[in-house]
Amino acid sequence: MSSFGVLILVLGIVVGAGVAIIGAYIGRRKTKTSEHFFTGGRNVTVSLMTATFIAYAVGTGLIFSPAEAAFTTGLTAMLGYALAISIAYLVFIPISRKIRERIPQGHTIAEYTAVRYGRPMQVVTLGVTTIYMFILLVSNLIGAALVFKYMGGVPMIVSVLAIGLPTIYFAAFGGVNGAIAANGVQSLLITPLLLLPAGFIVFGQGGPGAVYQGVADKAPEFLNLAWDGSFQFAILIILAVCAAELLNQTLWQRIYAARSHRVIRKSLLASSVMVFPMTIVAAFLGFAAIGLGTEVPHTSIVAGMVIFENTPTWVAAAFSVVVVLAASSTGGDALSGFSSIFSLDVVKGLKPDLDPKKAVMAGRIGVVLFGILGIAVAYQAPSILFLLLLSDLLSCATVVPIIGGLYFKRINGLGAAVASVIGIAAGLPMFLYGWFGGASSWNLPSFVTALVVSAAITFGWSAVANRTFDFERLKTEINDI
Amino acid sequence: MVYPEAFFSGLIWVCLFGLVLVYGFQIWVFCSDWRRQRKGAE
Repeated sequence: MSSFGVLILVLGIVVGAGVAIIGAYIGRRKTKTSEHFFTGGRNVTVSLMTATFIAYAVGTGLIFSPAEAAFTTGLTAMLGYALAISIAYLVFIPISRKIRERIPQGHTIAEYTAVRYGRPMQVVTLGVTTIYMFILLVSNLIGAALVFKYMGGVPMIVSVLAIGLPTIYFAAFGGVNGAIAANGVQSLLITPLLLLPAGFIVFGQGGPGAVYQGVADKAPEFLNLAWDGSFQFAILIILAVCAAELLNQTLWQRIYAARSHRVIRKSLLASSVMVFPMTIVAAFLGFAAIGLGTEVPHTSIVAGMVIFENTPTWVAAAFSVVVVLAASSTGGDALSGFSSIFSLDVVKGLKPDLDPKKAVMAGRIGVVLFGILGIAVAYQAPSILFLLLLSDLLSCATVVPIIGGLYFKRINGLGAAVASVIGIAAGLPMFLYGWFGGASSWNLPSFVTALVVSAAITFGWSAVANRTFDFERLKTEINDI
Repeated sequence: MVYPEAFFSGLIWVCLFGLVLVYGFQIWVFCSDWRRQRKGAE
């Protein structure tokens, strides 16, 4: 480990532990009942709600993947990524209104599908949302650990533990209030610390034009405006991120935690505006790596490497703080989301008369188990973009049956479950072939296939089955814990 | 057809300065929310 590695590791531990202590302290102070642990007392206001949406977005999905997409695919992909993250929040505004209107006392997605569709669809939803939360956690730990490894020679397991343990701590003891409080601190620190290295590179090169010229010399195809791989990736990522965010337990948890729909609408609008320039600035770093000829040992951390090679040590150290904050914010949100899934869907599903205090205890145990499993898997370090796309594909195959159930009373439970499974079965092999077979042109069709097949079966089945659902059941059968 | 250099440079400059503005906006939202909560508590 180099002396720079020691510096960023110490900084990472101090910042990670500091945020964890603040998050756990505020979370415990605000957590008076089990409802506070899982839904924050349904009383969160605009500033913290905006902060939590921003901090959630600024994980691997914003710091690492857009830069990786720009570095491997081009400028259109970079624009597509920024639009995807921004549009996903806009799409969520009307859906969140419907969620709160239909299920005012809700907690989790699977709890809704259990009442709306029955056991088979609940199992499918549980599987998809758990895999999504797990991938979010693991990909964030991987991203941070890779940056620490290649920038400072810090062993993967050391950095994964240094970031993972404080994150588990505040998610387990602070509950959703702890995660939201930590997000408040994280969102205030992340923006200036992201601007700093990007500004250094832009001003250091005499403006973005130098990066453009470098890309034009080294990889001119990345500047094409045509129906090529970059354009297809942009369409794919908009589709994928929108589908995934609609089935994101972390975001559903925030919807229930807000004081009113007005709070959600304002926060999502503000976050949607803020994450666009943040994503472009982060993705620019990937583009800068091409233009400046940066050596990149792992495409997932291209942003870290271009900063490491082209800015002073203290700026690179500041970026390592962003990485820690990004990983712990989204990782903590994923853990907090999983605590609801584990306690309210799994444990309460097996033991329906579970005492509220024991439900909180089960949530905490779930966070610890999930976190330890995440730490154990993270050091394998596959591509972050691959992991995120994999979870997005599962969401594409299930988004129409799940979200459609909020709007259409004729959609049938068995039909929704069959549609989801067949959608996954149709899209997944194409995606894996595209990724591992080097046939990237298969990626977009795999997502479209998963979405269209599941939608067609869902609506086809509901047209044949002559049964309707009474939406009032969602209000009467889903209650406070 | 390729993206012109002016588009790329403009995008990066707008996003860099836009980010400064939206960060200021975020701080303002934080402060006004905090003030409102303090008023409510009083």
